[in-house]
This record gives sequence, C-alpha cells and structure tokens, in this order.
Amino acid sequence: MRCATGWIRVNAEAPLLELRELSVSFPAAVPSVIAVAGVTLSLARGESLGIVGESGSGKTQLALAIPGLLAPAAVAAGSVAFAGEQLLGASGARLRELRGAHIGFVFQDPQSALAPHLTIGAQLIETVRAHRAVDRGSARQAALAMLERVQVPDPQVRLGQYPHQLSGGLRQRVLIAIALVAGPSLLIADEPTTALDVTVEAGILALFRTLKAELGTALLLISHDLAVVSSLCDRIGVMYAGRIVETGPAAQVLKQPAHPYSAALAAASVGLEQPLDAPLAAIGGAPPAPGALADGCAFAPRCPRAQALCRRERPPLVPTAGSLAAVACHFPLDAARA
Amino acid sequence: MASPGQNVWAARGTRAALALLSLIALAALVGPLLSPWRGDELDWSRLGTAPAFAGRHWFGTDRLGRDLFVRTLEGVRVSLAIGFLATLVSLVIGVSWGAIAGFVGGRLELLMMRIVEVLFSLPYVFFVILLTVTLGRSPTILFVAIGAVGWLTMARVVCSQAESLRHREFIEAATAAGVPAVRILLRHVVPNLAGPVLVYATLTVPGVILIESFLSFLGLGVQEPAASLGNLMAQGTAEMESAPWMLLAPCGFLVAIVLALGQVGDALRDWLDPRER
Repeated sequence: MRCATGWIRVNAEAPLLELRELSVSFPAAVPSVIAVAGVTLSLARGESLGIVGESGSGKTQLALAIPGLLAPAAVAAGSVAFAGEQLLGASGARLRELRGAHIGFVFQDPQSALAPHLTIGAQLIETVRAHRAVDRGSARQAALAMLERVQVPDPQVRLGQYPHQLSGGLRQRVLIAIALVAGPSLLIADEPTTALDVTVEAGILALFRTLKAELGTALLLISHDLAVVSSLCDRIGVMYAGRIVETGPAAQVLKQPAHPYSAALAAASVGLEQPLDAPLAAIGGAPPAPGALADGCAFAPRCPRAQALCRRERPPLVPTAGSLAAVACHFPLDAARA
Repeated sequence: MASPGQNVWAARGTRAALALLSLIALAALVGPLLSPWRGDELDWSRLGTAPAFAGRHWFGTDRLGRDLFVRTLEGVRVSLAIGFLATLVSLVIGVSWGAIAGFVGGRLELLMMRIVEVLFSLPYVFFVILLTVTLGRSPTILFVAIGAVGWLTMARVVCSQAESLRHREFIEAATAAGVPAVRILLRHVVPNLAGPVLVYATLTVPGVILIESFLSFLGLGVQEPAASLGNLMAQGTAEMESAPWMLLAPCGFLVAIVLALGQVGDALRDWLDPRER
C-alpha cells in the first residue's frame, strides 16, 4: 500500500540528521579519489546548516551521500542517521520512500533538472503520487498549493506549461516546489542559486527564508558563497579537501573566523560596498587533488600561518572554549583580533 | 540536403519520396481491384506476353499466363506488410530490451548486451534456413526469423541512448524526488528515446523488405502461389532474356520503395538532430 510509506521510525531524542565519520571515495578511479574524508555533523529539526567550500571540496558528494544518490562508482563509509534510522546500506525501496517524502533535494541547475518533455504539473503530480495514495485531482490541488507557496505567479497556467516556457528563476522555484510537495522534514539544496543571476538569486534566498519560517523544514544548504550561506543559515560548516575545518554559528564564522581558510574565504567574497578599484582578494595556490591527501593539514601549503607542525600532523576538529564553534587548526586566529 | 534551420519536410526530395510512398501504398491496396484478373488466374491465350493493353495485362504475363500487374502489386502489399510488421516487432522487443539494459546499467546491462552480441554473431541466413528446415516454411517463421534479427540493432541504439539519459540531471532529480524506477523508465526515459527510435525504424523498414526479398529469392520466404517482390524477382531472373518485364516490374517497385523510405529516414534524422536545427 502506498500510504504505508508515510510513516517513519521516529526517535524523538535523535537529531534529524546525524553524520558520523562519513567518507565518500572513488576507489576505481585512477588515481583513486577521496571526495569526503570523515565528516561528522548533526542537524536538529527545523535547523538550517550551510556547508561552504570551493569547487572540489567534496560538498556535493556529501549532499548526494545522504539520500543515497551517489554514483554507482562511489563508496560511502561511516554513518548517516536520519531521525535515528541508518541510511547507509538501507534498501533501495526504503531510500525511495524516504526521498521526496522525508528528504527533499534541490539540484543546482534548473535548466537541466526538469524533464523537458513533461509539464510542470505532471512532474509535481508525479512526485505527490509517488508518496501518497491520492487521485489525480487531489494531487493537482497539492501541486497548485505548493506552486502558490513558492510564489509562482499564475500557478493554474504554469501547471500546464513546459519547463522551456519558464524563466530560470521560475524553474528554480518549481524545483523547490517539487522538492517540498511531499512534505519532507529535511531539504537539501545543492548550490540552488549558482546558476541564477544576482537579482533572481536574491528572490530565491528570500523564498527559502519564508519557507523555513512557514514550514519548519530543516535545511542543509550547500554553497561556495559564504554570503549566501550566512544570510540563510543558523550554522555554517566550512569544508576544505573533504573535511570540515570549521563550524559554528553563522555570524561568528563570517565575522570572526578562527580557521585561516575561513578567514581567507570571508575576505575573498566581494561586497557591493567595496570600491571598484580595490584589488580582489584571492587565496594563493590551488586545493590539493582529492587523491593526494597528505598527513598534515590539507590547507598548510596555501596557509600564511603554516608551520612545521601543520605539515606533519593533521589538526583534529576541536570545540573552541566558551563558544558553540569548533575548528581544526593548530594555530587558530585569535577571535578577539578580528 | 536541408540546411540548418530549414524545414526539411519542405525539401523537394522528401516531399517527392513521401508522395511516391503514398502512391505505391495506394496502388498496392486498390490496384489489384482495377484489373479484371486475379493473381492466381491463368490466361491460357496469353502465356508470357509483354506488357500490352490487349487482354488488359498492363505489366504482361508470366509463363503460366498469370497477370503480372496484379501479382506485382500483391507482392508490394506483402513486402510492405512484412516490412512494417517486422519493424514493429523489432521496435517493441528492441526498445524494451535496450531501455531496460541502458537504464538499469551495471551487470544487467553487460549481460543483456552480451546476449545481443552473441545473437548478432549468428549468420542470419543460416539461422533462417535452420528454422525453415526444422519448423517448415510459413509466413510466421519468416516473421520470427526477421524479427529475431531486426531487434538487435534497435536494442543497441536504444541502450546507448538510455544510458546517456540515465546520467541526465532530470532523471537524477526524479530519483531524488522518490519517483519509482519503473515510472521513471516509462515516463522519463522512453519518451526521450522517440527521436532516434523513429529514425532508426524508418531505416529498418527498407532493410526488412530487402531481407524478405532476399529470402524469398532463395526460396526460403513467401511461397508460391502467394507473391512477394522477392519470389517475383526470382522467377523474373529465370526468364530475364526472353521476358525482361517479369524482372523489371518487381525490381522497379523494390528500388522505389527502398529509396523513398531511405530518403524519409534521412530527413527525419536531419530534422531530429539538434545540430542540424
């Protein structure tokens, strides 16, 4: 029976999402690649967590690993617990039940994530009916309500339209509607605004903020843009070379970063108030190849503060005294200094 | 050839090919009714006569005095029917097989496509001879034999298409929304195969007609007294020097059908190829 997919093994004490030493590797690749190298994090109900990092830091693989959407060549190890239920190694049928109904996923590129040959309505209704035993009419009502909720104008008309008839911003709203229409308690968004221009991006971010307040859905937001993440999330995790190097409340990580990499990221983001002739800040060097993870701190070759210890020994993620933050650095920046 | 952005259906060659095909199909359907003769009727007064209006044998008669106009058009009817039906059979088997293999991927795809390759490596003439010898000559065996060969290439074409579709983001997005795999296959993968499948089917029809003609020419296909373009040509070849019209009429129709279908297939391919648009 379809409606049987609605229940979930609730564990009130467990956080909504808990990753323990999650790693994702591609052992068959030459040289073999370790995209995510032991990430531990947790997310409470209704909370929003942003993962920031540059291209190749493993943040997308981390996001894909949660609902079991990794490529067949990828091997995930560690633990992914969703409301206390272990997802790594869960059956395909169970994962299919959870996807959409409990874990929504928004892809990066609205151009290619909508099926070009199906109407918006067909794709929304399909998702509703994959999880709820309802007839077409009530599925259509749910689709319509969700399109209104994501502030798509003329939802009646849009239901009958094809993706190519919509603008990029509208398509991203439709993708968000599809991710939310079956009522998930966790929404994972992988770079949801990267493919959009700045004004449209602002609209989508405002929508996320509204939805978070109205629906109480927990949000895991993946982005390379520190400003986007800090405007939307309660907490931030900074990812570098497959590891979380710093985590803490959004304002603290943005304003008083303790890890030199977070500080460099924060300095590299360009604000509108910045004078046009000011040189753009950049981080020298390039991130290490994902296969070539050395013993020491992965950021050491690019770090202005690196010393011999950094190249020899990898710093563990330790909580900072007197705050909710944690940092993986032998010589963290003094919070007071910033 | 159509230039990019131009509507290929407007191209003169394509329109001519479509018109010719419709004309031939219409002739095959109603043509035999216009003649006073039946295909198996013997005209004892005119054995092996050249095309003439006298006696209303417009394409002449064969050695037994049978009217070649009626027999040729009946042959066209048989050949077209086999061409389209066998293509339909190969379409159904090939698309299901290829779509499942390509969409599921992994070991199943390896296994399914190796089976296709093994079947491919069997020489089909040998295969057909074996079938007809063991099971007897009947039109059903002809369908089975042609169908058994015809779906292989279709399955390959479809499999590679389905595999590239599997990695498209909208398929992943549907998976991430929890849409069941069977539904993704039917609603997201199969409709997107329509273009290449349609083109390949158009190119399969003349191929199947040629195979049927070839098998009938060898005496393995459609059996006397039923006519097909193949067995008409086989008889025509035997009388080539004394009665060339017996060979020319079925050959002319076969060439026209194959060329016209090929032209339509090319036009379809150009039309559906995004690089041409």
